[in-house]
Amino acid sequence: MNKVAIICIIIGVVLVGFGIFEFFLAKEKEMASSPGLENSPLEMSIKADLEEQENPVRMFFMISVGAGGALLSIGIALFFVGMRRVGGGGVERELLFVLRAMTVLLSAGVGLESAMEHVANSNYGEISVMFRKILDEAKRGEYIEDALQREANITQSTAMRKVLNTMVLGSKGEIDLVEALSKIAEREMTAREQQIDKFIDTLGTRAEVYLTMGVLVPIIIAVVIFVALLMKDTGGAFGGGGGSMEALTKREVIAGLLFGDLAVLGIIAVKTKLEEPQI
Amino acid sequence: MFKSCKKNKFLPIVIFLFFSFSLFTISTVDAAAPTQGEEDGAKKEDTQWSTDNITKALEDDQVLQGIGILGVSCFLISLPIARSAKRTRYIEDNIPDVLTEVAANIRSANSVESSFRDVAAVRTDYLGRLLQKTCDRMQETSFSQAMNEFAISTKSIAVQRIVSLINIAIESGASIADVLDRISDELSSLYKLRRDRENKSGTNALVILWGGVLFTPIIIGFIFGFFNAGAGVDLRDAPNIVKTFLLFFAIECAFMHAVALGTMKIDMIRTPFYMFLAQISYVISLNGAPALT
Repeated sequence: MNKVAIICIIIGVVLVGFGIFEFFLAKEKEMASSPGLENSPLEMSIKADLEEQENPVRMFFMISVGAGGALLSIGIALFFVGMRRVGGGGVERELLFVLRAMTVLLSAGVGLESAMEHVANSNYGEISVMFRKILDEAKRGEYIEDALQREANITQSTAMRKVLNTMVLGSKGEIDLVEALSKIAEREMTAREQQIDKFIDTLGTRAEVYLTMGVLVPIIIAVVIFVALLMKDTGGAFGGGGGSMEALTKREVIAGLLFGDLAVLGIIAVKTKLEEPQI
Repeated sequence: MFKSCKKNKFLPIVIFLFFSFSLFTISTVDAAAPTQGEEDGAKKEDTQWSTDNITKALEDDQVLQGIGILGVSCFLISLPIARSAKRTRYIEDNIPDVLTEVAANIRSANSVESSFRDVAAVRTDYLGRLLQKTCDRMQETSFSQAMNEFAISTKSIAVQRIVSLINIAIESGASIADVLDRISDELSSLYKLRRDRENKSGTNALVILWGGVLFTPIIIGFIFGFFNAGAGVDLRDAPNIVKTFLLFFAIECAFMHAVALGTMKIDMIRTPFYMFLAQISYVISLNGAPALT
C-alpha cells in the first residue's frame, strides 16, 4: 500500500510541477509578445490569435494540475491509511476473527500452541506474522509466556496487548483462557458495534456536506459571474463594485475556487477513510 | 451483475431515470426547436438547441469520448470481478447454515462425509454444487484434502480459515459437531456486524455516489445551460472549468462510496465509468437545458 502511495505522490508532484511550469512558460510568452500589440486592429487580432493558441495550454495546465492534485491527494490518503495499519489498524481488523477461532479451538480441547499454529498458518495478516514469530521463539527453546509477553510490550494495538497478556496468564494456568478470550471477544464486538453506529452517523452528515458543497459552489460561481456582468452592464449602478466583482469571474479564480472545493472534499474523504470501522 | 444486488437495487432505477432524462431532453429539444424558430425569427435560430447540438457537443468532445471508451471498458472488466465477489459473498453468508445442518446430521449418528453429502443433496444452489463436488472428491482423496480444495475453489479467506479450523479439530480428536456448531455461531455474529454496516451505510453510499455522478452534473449543467444560452449571459470558461471539476468530483464520490461500503477494489475499477456518466450527464444537461427553459 505504501509503495502505491509513494508512486501516486511522485506522479502527482510531477504532474502539478509540469502543469505550473507550462503555465509560467505560457505567461512568459504572453509577456514577450504583448508590448505594443494593443493599438491597431491588426495587432488586436494577432493578440486574439495568440490567446486562442494558449487556450489548449491553459486547458493542459488545468488538467495536469487537477490530475496531479487528485493523485497527490490519493497518495497522501493511502500513506496515512498505511501508517494507521502499521499503528494497529491492521491488527484490529483481524482480531475478532482470531479471537473467535482461538475460542473455538481451545474449547474443543486443542492446545494453545496448536491454536496459535492455526492462526500463524491461516493468513490473519499481521497477527499471523506475530504468532509465527512467537512460535519460532518457542521452538528455539524460549518459554512461550516470555515470547508472548515480549510481543505484548511491542504491539501498538491496545486490544491485541490485552489478548496477549491474557494468553500469558492462560498459559501459566492462572485463568480460564477460553472464558477470558470469549469475554474479550464480546467486549470487542460491542466496541465495533458502537464504531459502526458512529460511522453511520458521520457518513450521513458527510453525504449531505458532500452534495451541498458539490452542487452549491459551482452554482454560486454561476451567480457571481451573472451578478458581475450585470453590475458591469449597469456601469456601477449598484455602488460601483463592478471592478472587484469582475475579478471573481477570471478563470484562474474560478478554477482556484473549484479545486479548493475539491481539496476540501478530498480531505473529508480521507478523514472518513481513516475513521472506517475495522471490520 | 453488480457486487450486491440487494444493495444496488436502486441502480436500475437510477439508470432508467438517467436515460429517461436524456430521452426527455432530446425529445423536448426537438419539439422546441421549430417553435422557437417560427416565433423568434432568424436571429434566435443561432441559439436554438436541438438534438444536433447535443450530438455535436458529444462528437466534438474528445476527452469525453476517451473517458467513454475507458469507462465502458472498465465497467465490462469489473463485471466478472463483481460476479466472483458476489458468489464468494453468497458462500460466506450461507456457510454458517451449512455448518449447523452438518452438525445436526453428525449428532444423528452420521459420519462427517455422509453428513456433508446429505446437506449438499438438499441444496440446489451454487454452494450445494460445490459441496457435491467436494463429497465426490472425498471418495477419491482424503476428507481434509477435499475440504482444502473446496476452500480454495470458494476464493474466500473466511472459508479457508473455517476449513483449517475443522481440519485441526478433527486432527486433535475434538467433537466435530460441537466445533461446527461453535464456528457457525461465531461466524453468524461476525457476519451480522458486516451486514449491519452495509445495511446502515448503504443508503448514504448510494446518495453520495449517484448524487455526485448524476444529480450534481444534471443540476449544474441545467443551471449553467440556462445562464449561458437561455438567459444570454456569457459565462466564459466557467462551464469548461466546471466540467473538469465534475470529473474529479465523480472520482471523490466513487472513493466515498467505496469507503462507505468497503468495496474499494470494484469501485476503483469502475471509477472511469462513473466519470463518464458524470461528464455525459453534464454535457446533455448543459446543451439541452435552454430548450427546456
